[in-house]
Amino acid sequence: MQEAEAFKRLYPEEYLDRFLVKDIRPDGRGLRSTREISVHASPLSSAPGSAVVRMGNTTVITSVELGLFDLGEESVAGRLEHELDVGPLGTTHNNGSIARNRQQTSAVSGRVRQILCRSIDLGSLKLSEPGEEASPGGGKAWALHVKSVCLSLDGCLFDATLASAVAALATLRFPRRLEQLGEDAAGEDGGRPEGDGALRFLWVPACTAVALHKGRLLVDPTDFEESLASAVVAVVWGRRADSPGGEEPEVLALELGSEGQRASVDAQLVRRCLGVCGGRGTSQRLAALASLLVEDIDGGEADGMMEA
Amino acid sequence: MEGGRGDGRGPLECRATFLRTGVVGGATGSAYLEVGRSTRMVVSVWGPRQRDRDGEGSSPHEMQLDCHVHLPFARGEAEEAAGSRGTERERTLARQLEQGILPSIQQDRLKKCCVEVQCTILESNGSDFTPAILCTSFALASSNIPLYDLMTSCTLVVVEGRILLDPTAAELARSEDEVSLAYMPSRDQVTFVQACGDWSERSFKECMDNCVDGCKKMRAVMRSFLVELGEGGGRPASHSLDYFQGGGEVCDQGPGAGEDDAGEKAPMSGGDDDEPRREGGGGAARFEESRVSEKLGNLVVADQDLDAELDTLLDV
Amino acid sequence: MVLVAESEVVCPGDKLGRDNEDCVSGANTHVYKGYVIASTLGKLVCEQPSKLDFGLDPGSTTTTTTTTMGEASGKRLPVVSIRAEGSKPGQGEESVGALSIGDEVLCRVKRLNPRYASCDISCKGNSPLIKEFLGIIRVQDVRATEIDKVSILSSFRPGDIVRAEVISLGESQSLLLSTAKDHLGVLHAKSEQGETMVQVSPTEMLCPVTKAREERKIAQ
Repeated sequence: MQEAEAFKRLYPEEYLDRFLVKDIRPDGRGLRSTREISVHASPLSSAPGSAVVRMGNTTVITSVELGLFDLGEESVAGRLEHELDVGPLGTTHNNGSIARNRQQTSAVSGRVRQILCRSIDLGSLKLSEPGEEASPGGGKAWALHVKSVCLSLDGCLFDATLASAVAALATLRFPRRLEQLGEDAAGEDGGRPEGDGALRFLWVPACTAVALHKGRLLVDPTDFEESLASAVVAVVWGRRADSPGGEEPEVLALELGSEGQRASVDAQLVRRCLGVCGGRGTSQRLAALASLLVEDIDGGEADGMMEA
Repeated sequence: MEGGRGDGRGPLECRATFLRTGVVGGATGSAYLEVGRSTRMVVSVWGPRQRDRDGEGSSPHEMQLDCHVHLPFARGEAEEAAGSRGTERERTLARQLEQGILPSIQQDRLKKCCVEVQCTILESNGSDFTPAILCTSFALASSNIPLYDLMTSCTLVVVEGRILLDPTAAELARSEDEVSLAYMPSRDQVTFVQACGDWSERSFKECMDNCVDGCKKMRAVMRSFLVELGEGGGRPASHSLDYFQGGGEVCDQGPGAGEDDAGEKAPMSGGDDDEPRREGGGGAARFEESRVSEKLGNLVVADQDLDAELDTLLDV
Repeated sequence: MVLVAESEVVCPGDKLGRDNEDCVSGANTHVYKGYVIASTLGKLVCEQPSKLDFGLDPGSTTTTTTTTMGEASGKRLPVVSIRAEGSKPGQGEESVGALSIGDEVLCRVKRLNPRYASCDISCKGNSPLIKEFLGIIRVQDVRATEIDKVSILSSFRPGDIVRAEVISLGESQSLLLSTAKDHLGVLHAKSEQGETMVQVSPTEMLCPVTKAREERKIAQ
């Protein structure tokens, strides 16, 4: 075991090649299999919405906080902001300059935010006031502060962050009507706004990444594979939230990235990636997240705690 | 005030603590701690590795302990502009953690090395310092870094004249006096004390003694979890959230209602014709995978041996 | 008597026995106030030292000597050590990645300088370290003979995998390494064209594609 580890450290390319040539990866997976995803809803009792997602050794926990803001005349929708914190990974992963890491982290965070904004109906965040007629503008709405923390990383940071954010939003519960807020206006510390309103989803997104290494496609790469890959294609698949399931997921977004190495990623390669990653692994992820939406969760008990 | 505390504990009773290791894949050691279901934190230990450049006046041969604390979900602090080392609360706690934990590490065995501790507090109900010390000590023990002893900690408050151990946040807010300490039980040494209050009426020594007793109890709790770990167990005994289970075996929400694990394998093989026979997911396939990984782990470095091993392996 | 049974799990801080009365401190244990105490989490291993451990030839002289010594110190004491979970019986005491003087390491050469070669130390023995340490091989430490005539360029090139020994923890950031012994030196090198080279003489390697020879300090 030790010798294999030493070989992996000293000759990483050769180590990986020896596995790939036999159509297998260092952790025993096939070239197209994804890692198991485990989603756990509402682990944090003090947050309105939270979730922990684990894909192999990558763990991301996300919490959603609520803030109230006044809507302008024209707007009818709430807001969503996302933040990603990779501090807990320490210098082992955050090697190199802090500025570059911050840039990468904010890039991932920006992409997550984009996908989330497309996937949810921000209009469902608007608080309805009593006696309100169909006047579109004005009033109050919720602003969602979504914060993700990466506790451990083994490749596919974006995939895990997106899944974690989606799961946290799915478990979010907030008051729908202004009069439910009561004396304690939401957003002040100490008061967690209770409610039963849930966020309305348009799409359930899940991302699967594909790494390109010497002409081979590796789905859901680990950190080791990502570091040796010449390019990574991340495909965000989505399933319509109101569909009964069984429909083919559609592509919501696609992103190509290559770290420092030039790789020619042409249309044919993209087509191959799409073909390869839309398989069972992605469906499993989509199903795991979609099931959170349909579950009837009453606040705080969703985590299935067993009594001590 | 009535006899009991809010959660029915006696005054010198600590909340139920749960410790688990192996939550951060890739770290040298890691631990997850839960106290009473409302305090949760994860500590990962990385190292020993080479020291960082900034000697900060200390001898370059000494061991360096680099503690970082993250309070990502703390309320009311989002507005504060965090420096690169975190908010004020995070920095203070990191310094306290370093001071409390360092005496338990055998520094002369780790010359010129740095041990990095990353502590992420997910939720905290009560003192931050005590669970951080306990969790860090547990993570260090599970990472095989040579230690003199397990470091334990306990916090004590005086509320309306009564001594209470392991206070919740509400009790902390109401307290008149407060003592936190870090203690090495087998050496009977206190390594860190933080106390604030008025000790004219109540004896400080009495408070310290009660605190030390609390620490000794915590050591017994930690030891029981460690022994379980050492015996190759590590399965949680009880009562807590399993969301840091290894390998994604639980909470796997599966492809929808009506399909169980055994049934999963059949529908999976259809529709993915090019997949190699070792697939991820499904009970039987997962077992085979772990067997494969185990075999691959026994490979020898020499070129020809590697090839031969792979050949025999794939004939399975 | 040792306080803990063999193969029982012990935690850091557990007392194992009285020093020099019940047992002697071995790997992963330390002594405090006359007691042998565990330093890491793991299973207790209790070993009885054999006669040859006294470093003398077997034979009648040994018997007499050890009997004498035995009489002086009492019975032979078992050596207690802790074996961490997951480590093999033969593994050294330092199951943790701290480097000390005399350790053999595997490193990769990064940069050359007329006076030294700068390397990244990846493995201690055969087990990889968490993160690379920095090491330096000074020109006088490259080999044991004719050390004033050594040229760094004809001993190492960037990218070579080298087995070296730690000779000092160094004053600054890097550890000092030496390849003076015969079994230390370059294990694997790539030529300028990127091909793995083979050894053709004690000091030269050949690129199989271009047939160009390059000089190295090769491990025998």
